[in-house]
Amino acid sequence: MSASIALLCLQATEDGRTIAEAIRQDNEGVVITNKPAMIQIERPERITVKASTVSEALGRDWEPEELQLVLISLGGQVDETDDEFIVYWNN
Amino acid sequence: MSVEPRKKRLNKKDAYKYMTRLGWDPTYQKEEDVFPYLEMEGLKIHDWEAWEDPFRMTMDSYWKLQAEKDKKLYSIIDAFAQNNAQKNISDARYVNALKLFLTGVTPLEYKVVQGFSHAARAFKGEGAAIACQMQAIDELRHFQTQVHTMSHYNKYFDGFHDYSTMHDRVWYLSVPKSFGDDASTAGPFEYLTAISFSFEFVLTSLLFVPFMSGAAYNGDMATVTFGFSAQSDESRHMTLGLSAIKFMLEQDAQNVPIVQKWMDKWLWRGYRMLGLVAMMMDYMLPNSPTSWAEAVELYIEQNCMALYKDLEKYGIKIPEKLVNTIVAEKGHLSHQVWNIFYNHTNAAAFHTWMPDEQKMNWLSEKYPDTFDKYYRPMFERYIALEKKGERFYSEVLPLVCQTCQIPLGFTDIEGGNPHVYTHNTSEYNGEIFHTCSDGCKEIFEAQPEKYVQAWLPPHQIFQGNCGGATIPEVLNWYKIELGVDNMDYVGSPDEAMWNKLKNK
Repeated sequence: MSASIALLCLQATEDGRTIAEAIRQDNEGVVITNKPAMIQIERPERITVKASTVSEALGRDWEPEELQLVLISLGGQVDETDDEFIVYWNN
Repeated sequence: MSVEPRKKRLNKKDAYKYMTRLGWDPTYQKEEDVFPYLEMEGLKIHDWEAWEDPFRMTMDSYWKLQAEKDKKLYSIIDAFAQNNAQKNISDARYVNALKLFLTGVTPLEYKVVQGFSHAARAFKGEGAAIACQMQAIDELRHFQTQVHTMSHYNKYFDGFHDYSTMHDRVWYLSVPKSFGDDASTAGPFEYLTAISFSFEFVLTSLLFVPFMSGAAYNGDMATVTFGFSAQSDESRHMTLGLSAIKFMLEQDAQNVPIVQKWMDKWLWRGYRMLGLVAMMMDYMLPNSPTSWAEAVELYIEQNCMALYKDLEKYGIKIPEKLVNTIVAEKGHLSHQVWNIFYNHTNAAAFHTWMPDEQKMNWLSEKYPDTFDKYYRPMFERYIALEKKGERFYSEVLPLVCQTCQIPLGFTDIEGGNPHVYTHNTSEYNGEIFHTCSDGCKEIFEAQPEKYVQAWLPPHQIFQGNCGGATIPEVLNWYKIELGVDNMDYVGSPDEAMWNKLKNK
């Protein structure tokens, strides 16, 4: 069986779209799909949201906990640190 | 654009530790008196410190983020009202999905405020207690924001006026109500498995994501916003659910079979309740962004299976039988549930209708193996009756499942007879009890002494506990206004209001 798919669904807002673009930069092979009012982000095993890339893209200081403001749903386990928000499967 | 170097501060792991590990061991009272529910379910917990919140949420961040979410939401609710945005929805039929949500789901949000407050008090570990407390506050926010948002529709449309009485009394609302009652009368660990794991982690995406995408697709900006605002909390709740399961499994190998039993039970209980969502997605949304079958494929077949695979290392097994049934039913469920409601909408707090040709074609496309073969002919017959002025309403009470309380309207799909109704029976203390499926039968037989106490609406009507023996008397007791809140959408005051709003 192939690797499980890690999933993030973000609100399709200004911040949400920018964060999705930052995720695209840092996660090779990520699949980003636009759904009504929602951006669906899928990648085998793991998606990493890097605060430094998002801050650069937004042009302001951004903390990983702010992801919660645009987060709709996720599939996977979570690890949140000062610099990254990671959703991953361990199998 | 360049950004200032990120500011130095106490790192998140330490901040989480300092802000959450504030408990103490009792010395004046015995521990088992302070935490009386810890042992009753048979779980063994050796180290409460092992419980960690992966979001590492602390109270200061919590208030800040939640305030930000509410500010965004309420500015949109105001804008929605000021702009008379109820006129911009796709069709007033859509509003019936909101009525079902307000009467079925919103009161459950309130129920879990109580449930999580209780669980927070019952747990000895601070990590678990704080996560449960935050969730209790989240759920209160969800309850309030849902009522505030939908109150705007109450100014124009019927059926929104007494959602809490309806939740307690109306026959189909006993489906979500009994789910909440079943969970909150269990011990705290089963409660977490039921709500945090099975409902929040496994199934919530099936409820909120399609519902809110559906709202977006049908021009309901306010509902999209409360939904996604709530859903941003759900991601944290889902993670709490997974933390809880892993914590229980890692603490002691003896916990594994107990947790497996709860996971299977609550996967099935949750799935059955979402039958209401299946019909909402495929029939009640005038424009459907995604079908129930597609949602099952993404959230059950893909995500839920990934999750079980993750838990295999603890000895947890995929409940193959239940999952096979869910997958087998995915082409039938929404059509069968809509059929039940179409027939019984004379006793419901919302309107139903037959899909138009465009919707039928969408259903044929999404359900190529089932819709044209089994359901289109049935619905075309209903439409023919409507045209003759003989719109059918059932005058009899359905027999409902002793466990999930859904009417026994499901068919023998896995047995290869999708056109034949089926049910199971069990005997307990010399009496026969009916269930809708193998999943519900197993749940009943594991705890018959609990489920024989179920408050089954048709039985209660026959026992004279619901205002009388006729439909008008029962509707009066339900607080449903006959000819206004119930019956077909066509010819309803809602339809007249919609035509007025649209200057038709």
